[in-house]
Amino acid sequence: MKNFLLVLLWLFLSALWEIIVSPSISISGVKPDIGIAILVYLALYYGIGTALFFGFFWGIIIDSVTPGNLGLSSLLYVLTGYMIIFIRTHFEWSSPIAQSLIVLFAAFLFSGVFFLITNIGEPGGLFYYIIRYGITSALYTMVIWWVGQFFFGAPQDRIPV
Amino acid sequence: MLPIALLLISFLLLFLPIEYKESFAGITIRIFYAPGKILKEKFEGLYKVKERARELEAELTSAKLKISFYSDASRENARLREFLDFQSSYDFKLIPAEIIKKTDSPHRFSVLINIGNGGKIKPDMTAVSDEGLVGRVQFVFNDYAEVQLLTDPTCRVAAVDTRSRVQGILKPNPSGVLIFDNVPAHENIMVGDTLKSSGLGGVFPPGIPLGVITEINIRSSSYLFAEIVVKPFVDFDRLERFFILGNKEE
Repeated sequence: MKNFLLVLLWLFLSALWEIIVSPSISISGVKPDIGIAILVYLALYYGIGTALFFGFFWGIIIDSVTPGNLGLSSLLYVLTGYMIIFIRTHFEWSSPIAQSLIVLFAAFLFSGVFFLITNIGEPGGLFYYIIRYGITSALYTMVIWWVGQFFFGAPQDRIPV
Repeated sequence: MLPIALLLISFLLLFLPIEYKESFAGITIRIFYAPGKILKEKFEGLYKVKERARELEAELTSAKLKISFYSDASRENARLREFLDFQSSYDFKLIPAEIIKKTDSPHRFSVLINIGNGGKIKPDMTAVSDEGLVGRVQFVFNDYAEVQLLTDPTCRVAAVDTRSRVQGILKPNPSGVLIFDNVPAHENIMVGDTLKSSGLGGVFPPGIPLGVITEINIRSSSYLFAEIVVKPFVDFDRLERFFILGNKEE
């Protein structure tokens, strides 16, 4: 119940970020993926259940803007969350650099697969979107993660997966 | 187990009919985005209010500066009014007059005007135009009056240099040229100085513009007085109408 409320809180906070903060810090249309940053945080700090629930519902919230894709972002966030948990289990992740690399990897994995699926049959468009938005958004997300680390400190492993 | 369940639900959502997707998305937007939008609108409203407050602050500062300026102007106005009160004993009513005839005599420079006794005109009243002193009322009849012009050989006006406050008598010489007379040669008089009536003669009120000094002739160092030539402000050749300074009480 406690974790459910936590996920709900993060969902509301993320939605607020998307509506209020994100448009203001957008650089040439490139925005940080706050969902990935929180997904990584929850995966590292709270474990698989909380992270995957967050990813699933955040995906639905994101897709509700374009209802035709409803379910796609949920699927990808769940997969990305699972990959983060996998990395967390098999690799040393507690250093800030490792965490930043996880964020970079997760953001790029999510956007890469998303553009791959939404641009099937259009390889030109796929590469354009990956370079124009995928890589830049992943880097921007990593920067936001650094900012978060600077203010709140790096998450530590407290809960066994 | 959980990842597989969530993945399956995601797949199911992907293959839902679009109508269901849209209604589902609508509910989600109302729950999660609506509060954010309301907050955003509030923030933007606050920002606009803040911007407007800045603009109003600037306007207020500008208005305060203007008030300060006008306050100074008001004080100056009050001071000038006090000064004018000094002249209030010369508070006149302007009676419009139109020239009906100019005298033909070369030795008499005067005009007849279209008002006389009926217009409450009296001898020795002052005639002025918007440019300066015209002359004085000399004779009054029932329907008209004769006004002696400033350029008449017998006209005398007590005058003062507005810059140096040197006083003298303005009078025409035999050839009709105005001379600022009775001014010692050593006095501080310059070409370009303007003359006004001083009021000392008792006929003309003080402060009426007379003319500008165009020439200063000092014949020799032994001469006590300078010959100062004055060009009147009023163009008498083109004069058609002017005003008589009447008593306000009347």
